[in-house]
Amino acid sequence: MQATASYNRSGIWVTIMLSIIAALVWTLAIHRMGIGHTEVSRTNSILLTSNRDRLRICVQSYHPQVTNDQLSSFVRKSLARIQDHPDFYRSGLGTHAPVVDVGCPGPPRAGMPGFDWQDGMAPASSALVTSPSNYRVFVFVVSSDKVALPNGHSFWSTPQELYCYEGRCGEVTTALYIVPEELADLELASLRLAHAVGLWVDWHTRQMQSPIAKEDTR
Amino acid sequence: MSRYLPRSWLSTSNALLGFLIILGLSLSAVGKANADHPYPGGQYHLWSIHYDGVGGGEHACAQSDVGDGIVTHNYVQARIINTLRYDNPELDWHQRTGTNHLHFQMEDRYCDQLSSTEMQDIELRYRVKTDANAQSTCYSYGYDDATECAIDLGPVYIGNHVDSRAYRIIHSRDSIYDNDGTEWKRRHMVSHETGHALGLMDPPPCTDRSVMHTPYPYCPGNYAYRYPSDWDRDTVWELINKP
Repeated sequence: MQATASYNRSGIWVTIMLSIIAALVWTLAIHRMGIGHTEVSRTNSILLTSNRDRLRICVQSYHPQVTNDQLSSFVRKSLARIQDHPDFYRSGLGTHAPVVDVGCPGPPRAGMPGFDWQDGMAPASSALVTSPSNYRVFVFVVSSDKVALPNGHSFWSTPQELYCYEGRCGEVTTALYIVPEELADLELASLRLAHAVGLWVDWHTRQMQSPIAKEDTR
Repeated sequence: MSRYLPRSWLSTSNALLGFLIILGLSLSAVGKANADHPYPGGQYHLWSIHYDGVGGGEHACAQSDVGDGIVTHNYVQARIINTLRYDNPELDWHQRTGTNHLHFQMEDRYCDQLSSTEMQDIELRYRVKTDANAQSTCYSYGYDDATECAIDLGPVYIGNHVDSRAYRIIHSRDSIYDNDGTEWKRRHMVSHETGHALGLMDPPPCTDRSVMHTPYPYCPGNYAYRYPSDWDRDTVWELINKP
């Protein structure tokens, strides 16, 4: 009787131990499935990826008439303006002070042979990345011929980095192109910067607006 | 030794039973986590596509890069808008009438004729390429071994959620060109890729009632995948009309 009870107890312990091991193994497997093939995940925040803790913008001038310091100062002024966007704070962009750095970890593809401004790709320079930059926006100053379209118009924003996560691929970093003449128009540049960081802009009225009316919880 | 064997076996079977219970519960939890077909947060997914500040509706442009004189810009524009809207209400994204239903509109000009600012109003941007170029373009976007694909463009904050302003959709000539009896392929490919822009995901899990649930590579054996189903239309309609 005692022997039977002992074996029953040992059976319970083996059951418990194996169940714990199974749960741990399964939890680890789920965790690895969750993080996928990379450590950077696509998030539901306005900064888009898990390696971004605040709004970071890099700037780089590729035009001899504009210095990086001038560009940096201009972008900071634009940033001050977009803080008036109704969604700037409630989106989380205002949680930590934005950062503007000189020097971008990627090239301006505008003007490269075969560049497609709609997907941001050039045959010689892919926008697809295995790990996104921690900058949400790259701001480049280039000459106007680099952003000219055959129809006489020009573009000013393109995808800079495409990233795939859990089977879905898309833009996670945006390039904003400025030509030297546009540095005189802070209002326009601010609208474009707001658009580039992911805030809604109504281009028909040229207003920074919230797409969904809701109480301002600032 | 032999008399203890049954008890030993009993212990092992208890352990095995516990393991199976834990495994079953875990699998059940994972299944539930992936059970929704709309993208997570899909209640707002259609906002940036449908309510875009220019009177509502799904605005599209289309362009051919094929260059064979057959699958031209006009050919592509016509086939795509017909797939989405005109050919046959039972086979497209046609929905019940009333407020907030899908309303596809094709821009007269092809995509490259639009300016950067005009393009802000165009949420669906179709591009048709030769089969080889479609495959290499999809590969460059991160999709291995695909000739039809879509990428999200213009991330934008629209409330408590980040969505996309536009979708770039790549199709191959093979899927758009109507040969004898191949219209279903065009309908399926256009409807499937557009389905992503309307908020629907690829499997898992598989059902056999959705244009998103293709036999290859997702759901072998499926047959009801060629056109948007009532279930697809109703799901998208619910997404649009959620408060």
